[in-house]
Amino acid sequence: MLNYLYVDLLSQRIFRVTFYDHRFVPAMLDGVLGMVSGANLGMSNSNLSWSKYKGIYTSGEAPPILEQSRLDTLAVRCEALEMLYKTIYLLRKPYAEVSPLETEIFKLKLREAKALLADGSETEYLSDYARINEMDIQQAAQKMVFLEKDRLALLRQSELLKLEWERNFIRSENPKQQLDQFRTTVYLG
Amino acid sequence: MKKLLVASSYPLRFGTYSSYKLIREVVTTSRISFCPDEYNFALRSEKISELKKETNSFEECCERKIKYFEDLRKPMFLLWSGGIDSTAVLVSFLKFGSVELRKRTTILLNVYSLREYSEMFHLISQNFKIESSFNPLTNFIKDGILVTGELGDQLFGSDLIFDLVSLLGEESLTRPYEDELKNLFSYRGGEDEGKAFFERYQKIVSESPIEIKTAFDFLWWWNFSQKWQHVKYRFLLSDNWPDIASAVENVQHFYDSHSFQNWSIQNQDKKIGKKLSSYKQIVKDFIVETTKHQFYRSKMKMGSLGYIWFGKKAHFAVDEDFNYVSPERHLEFRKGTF
Repeated sequence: MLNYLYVDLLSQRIFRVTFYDHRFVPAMLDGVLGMVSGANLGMSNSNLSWSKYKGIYTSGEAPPILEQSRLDTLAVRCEALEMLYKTIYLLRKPYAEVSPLETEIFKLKLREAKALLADGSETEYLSDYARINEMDIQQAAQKMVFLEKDRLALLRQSELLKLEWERNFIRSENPKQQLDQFRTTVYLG
Repeated sequence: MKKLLVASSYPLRFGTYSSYKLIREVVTTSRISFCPDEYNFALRSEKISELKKETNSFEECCERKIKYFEDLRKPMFLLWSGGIDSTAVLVSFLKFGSVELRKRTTILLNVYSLREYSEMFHLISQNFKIESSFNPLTNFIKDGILVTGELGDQLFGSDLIFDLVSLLGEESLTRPYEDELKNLFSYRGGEDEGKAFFERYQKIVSESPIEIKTAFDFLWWWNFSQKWQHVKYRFLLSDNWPDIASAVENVQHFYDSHSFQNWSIQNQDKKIGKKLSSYKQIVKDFIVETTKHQFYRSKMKMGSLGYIWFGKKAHFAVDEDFNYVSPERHLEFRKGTF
């Protein structure tokens, strides 16, 4: 039995999928690892490079010794990447956990806020927000603009963490050592 | 022998380092003659016996600190978490600061600050520039002073009172410290370690300028006399500060003054009432007087530093010459077994 780790960072979710034949694993991993490596070579804005990562945890049928060693290394890489992606998720949590609808409404309010602050344009969603929260419309606009700046600052911070450690985990021949280092040198609460 | 300026047991927590369980990542540095420190430290904060004697009310202490900031004539960046301590700093800027000071002050906040105290946003946006505190804090000291609300807990008590109350009830705050503290530490670190830990620090009570009777008294005095230097410099352990000497000069904690420390020694009766909810009541009243947010009087403390530190580099220590020290070298600085 094989347990695959599937990480979808676009939707900020981590899945585990179980397969039953380890012989499928190496080829799939090679392909996916190449894709993740690509993310570290300047493709970090590509949705494709973010979208999938698959790995292996355990195998029921014993593979050849050399293959086992390779799978063990890949398994630790999976564990390390899972920890990294969870950390990134937690970092981004206040902005990542909102629903797509809330995100869309926020975008509308933000657009109105920018227009209001630029030329005093009329508002609709922002007016509602200000009224419900007993705020002045100007303050509501400033708050939306701030929240967007805050979100981008948080995104930048988490992206730097991701780039640094993803590279370490994928390229290192000793991902276990890298994982231990991650646990002791990055503050995780 | 080289000494440390500040250390954290966080990077050592996977080993057998016992005090991590008791006081999390804090590594204490004594400011009194009795020195139960685990590592050799260079004392850079003042010894308590060397404090210049002053008598001021809490408000006067705040006003004096703002006057000091007025005279610095530099851009100020105030790190506001939304919690009680940093909100009192913000209110001090509003209440005692000149228009000129407010114009050169930027408030650093984030979505968590607004979740904790969203009603403050209008006062902030009316009076100050605003930036996200998720930006690298190291950037802000390039041309200005970064002000924090650190050391507020050391003046008032300790966040361990929340653990004490949840474990032993509110009455434990005012009961004699000996049994309560032994129980608290045993709960956190196991019976033997807890007892050893308590015995190691118990002797600090003889040097207190006020009589230590209750569990609350003990936790305050322990925090004030043993944790001050750690809290003062622990920001250096989070993130990579490219120029540590400059950071030590340009990161300034609002409550780090002789006035505030004298206030703390002279006003033990004003720090907490009989209930946990009255902890820091004098500060909450000071805040409400300016903000008029009456609900704030019953606000409970929320930890907020974790949000700033999470995901950032966690160093083991900085030595007295302002170099980072790796965790592998921790035995070089160790005084003895714990």
